[in-house]
Amino acid sequence: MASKTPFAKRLVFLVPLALYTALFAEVYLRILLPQPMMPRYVTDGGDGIRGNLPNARYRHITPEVDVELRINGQGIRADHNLAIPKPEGLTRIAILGDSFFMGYEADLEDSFAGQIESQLAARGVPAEVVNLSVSGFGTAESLVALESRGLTFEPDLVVLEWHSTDPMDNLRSGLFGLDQHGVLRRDNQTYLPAIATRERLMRIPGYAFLIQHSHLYAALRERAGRFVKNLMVMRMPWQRAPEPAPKRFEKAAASEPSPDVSALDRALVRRVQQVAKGAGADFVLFDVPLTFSRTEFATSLQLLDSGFVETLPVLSPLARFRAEASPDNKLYLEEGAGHWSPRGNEIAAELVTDYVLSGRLAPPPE
Amino acid sequence: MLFQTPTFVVFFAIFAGLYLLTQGRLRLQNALILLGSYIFYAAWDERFLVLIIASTATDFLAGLGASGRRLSQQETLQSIGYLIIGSLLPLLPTLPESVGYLAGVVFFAVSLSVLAHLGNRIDEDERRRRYFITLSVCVNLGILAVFKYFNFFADSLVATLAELGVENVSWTTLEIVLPVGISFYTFQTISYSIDVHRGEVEPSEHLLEFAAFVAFFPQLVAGPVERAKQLLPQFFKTRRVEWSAIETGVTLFVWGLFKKTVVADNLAAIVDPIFAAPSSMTSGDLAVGLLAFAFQIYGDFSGYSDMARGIARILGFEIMLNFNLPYFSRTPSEFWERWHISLSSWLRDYLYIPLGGNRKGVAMTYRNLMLTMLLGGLWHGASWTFVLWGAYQGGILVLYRIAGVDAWIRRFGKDATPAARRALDVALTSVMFVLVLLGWMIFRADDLDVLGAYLAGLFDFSRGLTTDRLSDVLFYIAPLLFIQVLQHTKGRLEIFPELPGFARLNLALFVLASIIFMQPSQTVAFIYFDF
Repeated sequence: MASKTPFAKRLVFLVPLALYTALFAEVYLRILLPQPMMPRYVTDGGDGIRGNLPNARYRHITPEVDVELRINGQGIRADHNLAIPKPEGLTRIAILGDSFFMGYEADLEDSFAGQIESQLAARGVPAEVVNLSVSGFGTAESLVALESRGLTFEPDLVVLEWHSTDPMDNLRSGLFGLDQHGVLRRDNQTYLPAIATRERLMRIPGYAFLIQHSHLYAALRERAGRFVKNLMVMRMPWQRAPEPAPKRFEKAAASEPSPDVSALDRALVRRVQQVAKGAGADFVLFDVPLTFSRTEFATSLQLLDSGFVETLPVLSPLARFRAEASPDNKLYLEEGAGHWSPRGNEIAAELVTDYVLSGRLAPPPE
Repeated sequence: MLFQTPTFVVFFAIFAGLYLLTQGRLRLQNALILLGSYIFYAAWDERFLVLIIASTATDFLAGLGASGRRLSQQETLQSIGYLIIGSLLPLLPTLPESVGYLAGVVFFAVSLSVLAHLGNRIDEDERRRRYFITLSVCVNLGILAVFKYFNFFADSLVATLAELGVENVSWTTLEIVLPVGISFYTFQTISYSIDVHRGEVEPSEHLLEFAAFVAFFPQLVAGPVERAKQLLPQFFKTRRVEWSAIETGVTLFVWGLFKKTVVADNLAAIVDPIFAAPSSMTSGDLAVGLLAFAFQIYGDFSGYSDMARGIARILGFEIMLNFNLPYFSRTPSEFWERWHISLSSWLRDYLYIPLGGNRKGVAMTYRNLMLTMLLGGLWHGASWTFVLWGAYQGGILVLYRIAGVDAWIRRFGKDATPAARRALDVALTSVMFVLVLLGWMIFRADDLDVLGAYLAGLFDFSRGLTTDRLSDVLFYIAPLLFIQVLQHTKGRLEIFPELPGFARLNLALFVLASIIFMQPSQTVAFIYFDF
């Protein structure tokens, strides 16, 4: 029998119900499952890829950290604009990567970039880090960023992050592909995922407050983002490597990139190296290890062909992480997005510092 | 496909739409159920549909024969035709690699028709009935033996011979994957044939409905192991999708989803590392690991059962309750009346009672209990830890019987005050829970070495009793325990409709929020899919 309650009356009931549901969910999350509040302030960088929103100031708040991120007018995480041209006698280190290199969940002085600067300063080397990293970047976007943004800063050293998310990000961006000879080619000029949507949302009153303070928004955004990312990857050619039959009670192993995807990654890394060297800068590939627990790590470089890796200058904090790891020592944060802790950043920075001090930097062009 | 995945949501949305369109057209609806169930199963591995079809074809004929009827040519041809065509369709896309399977199907079909013909020629009714029931049991147990137990027994034989000094014995082990649900549907079809033989169920004369009963997708891969007298008649009654059934069905499904994705899957992340390396854990960690696993396996299995019941109810079917607050049990016999009820009642009705049950004296009763539980353990998997678990369960059943605990509880209950009865219940339940935990330690250990290490560590208090995992475990089980105490107090499982409106709203929001926000990012398969 059809309900006799008019639709308008039911609608009136639905609106407070929806509001109550949202309030319930917000309280539920705050009490039981506080979300890492890590808003991303990214925008169209003007060169077809994302960039950090210039002059933005925002906080990352998780159960472990409460830090501020300040972006300068050039879209770089720094407290001042970097001089162009490069001042005489200054060593510039361009770092290209994602949220790890950008220093998420860390204050500037505790971040990877900040630690490099302070460690070199303590050793008497005036140095400046040009942090071209943007959360979510893969190698493809790093390459574009170096070419369009980074070279103007005349870096002496280019440090390219290699992370386990890079193969998927490179594929998902669609910026580059390989021709039939395996040569890298630019397939698309833009990759601005959700930027237009975000900018429309930012015009809504209260939205900025939501992204900074609402745990419900953070949780839904995180899940929606993961869902969309998975959908995008499902549309890409992605062949699973044969998986060993899992033992009882074990989850199935994660899939590995197909040979085609690995070739793209190799070509991108090689191109970044070539661009750096072409501009007279040294180049080093930096491994961000995977972590399974406070004492278990593995290199992300396993996702690149080992023969290829041997042809590159590589820095990896893996050995130092393993040496220093203990159940009481957090090198990776655990209640946010799993970035390096201040000590993890410090160890990673030491590698770059040692590399710079070893004199392996290419001499500046005459 | 798993119930908690987007793939199943899409599948069920399409299936439900078509199901609604076929309302009032029973045979068409049953055909849809059969097709949908085969698609559901084929999502795992279409090749193993062949086994379900083989079991169905065999038991369709065996059921008719076991009732005393002679098989008609039409029935035999229908069954053989269904076997060949039904097997051909899933194997065709994988030709020529699957040509071996096809040859096997043809061989099986020829054998089945010959065996059916031979059975038909037996004049004496009782001998003919026994022939067909034997055929059913042999085929189904044969399927189990090959696909589930062959490698286990082969490897065990080689190991035993080596212990006895007979070296260099090599035995071919088969490269066979365990087909999902094999232990469930083979037991379901065996119970059908036996019930027909006993005269408790009329044999199905309609292959379509019988095949749908065997393959009914909500309970195909992880039970409950349905009885024909309960489920089969529902395929012959007109079903209507009704709002009240949708409401309660969805409630059941969501509650099952909560138990699986929020409780079980999160506890899995705590349990797995503890059982992977028990030698490096404190005593406290190992104890917490048992507690976590107890609720992981309960949440996983009872969650699946609830989801299965919920889906079935939406479609107008009622399938049996499989879990009834088992951790509130005071004795082992009570535990087995509440845990995996469909299997324990199957073992009781088709193993324990035919062996003599408790009717042939005390010693035979204990023997029958031990044998039943040993085989019940082995049903769970081809591993000595499962056999040992079965022996353990049989052992505590026997011990409680020797001590006369059940009888003593009944006597005590007659004269005691309600407070005293409650205190006794709490004490007995606590003891029983500890015994269950120790059993789960045996069940969960990958092998005897892990079991040994776990047991040694659990009682090696010099390792320390501290653990930082207890709060996480309590976090995930507290809401479940709260609801279960409510259910236990009210004496009913489906208490949701009885709650006041505002409480219902908040409970529903809590459960839904937990499912949305607390389930792990990586999907975890059901434990009982391994059985």
